[in-house]
Amino acid sequence: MSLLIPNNGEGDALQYFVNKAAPENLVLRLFSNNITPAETDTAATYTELAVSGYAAITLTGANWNAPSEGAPSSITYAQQTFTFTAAGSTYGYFMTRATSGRIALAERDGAGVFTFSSGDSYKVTPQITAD
Amino acid sequence: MWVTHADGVAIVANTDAVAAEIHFVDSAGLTIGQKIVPVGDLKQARLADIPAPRRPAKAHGEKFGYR
Repeated sequence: MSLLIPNNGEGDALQYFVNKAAPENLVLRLFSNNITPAETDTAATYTELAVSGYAAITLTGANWNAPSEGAPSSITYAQQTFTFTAAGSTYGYFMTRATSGRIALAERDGAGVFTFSSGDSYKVTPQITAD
Repeated sequence: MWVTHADGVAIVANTDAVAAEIHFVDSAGLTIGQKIVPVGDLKQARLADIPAPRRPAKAHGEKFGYR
């Protein structure tokens, strides 16, 4: 499934675009409830994974790669790895703003639910595309 | 986008000019199945069709045609 930017994320992006608000780092999180992202979602729609070993990952603004400008344009971040020390499952990832906590985007894993055991890992390579 | 289909309330996950992948949801807003259907079989959901836990405020929903 493709990435979705809910209304909250669109509003924040527009404010950053025109310099009405100062941008914030994104925080990469995994969700454990069986959600298909929708444009009306808020951060509260998503139940963040809560298993041993899991921790959200802050994506520092300066560490994003240079954008590729074209048709479409895109920007990427190095692959991130979540490693678990207990069993559980996740349906995908979402990102929130580091300070406000507002949702920025979400993507349901197209492969379906990912069930893991202790010692397993889950990898996400952040990429945002605009056309 | 929240839609209604003969089989229930759903979210459009992917779409092109003729077909859409939709994910059906239960009353809690959780995904219970998915299907590829003709776009013509879909209608935009009414605000009341959206499961309560995921239903936007009336004023916000109306901006997007959920009445």
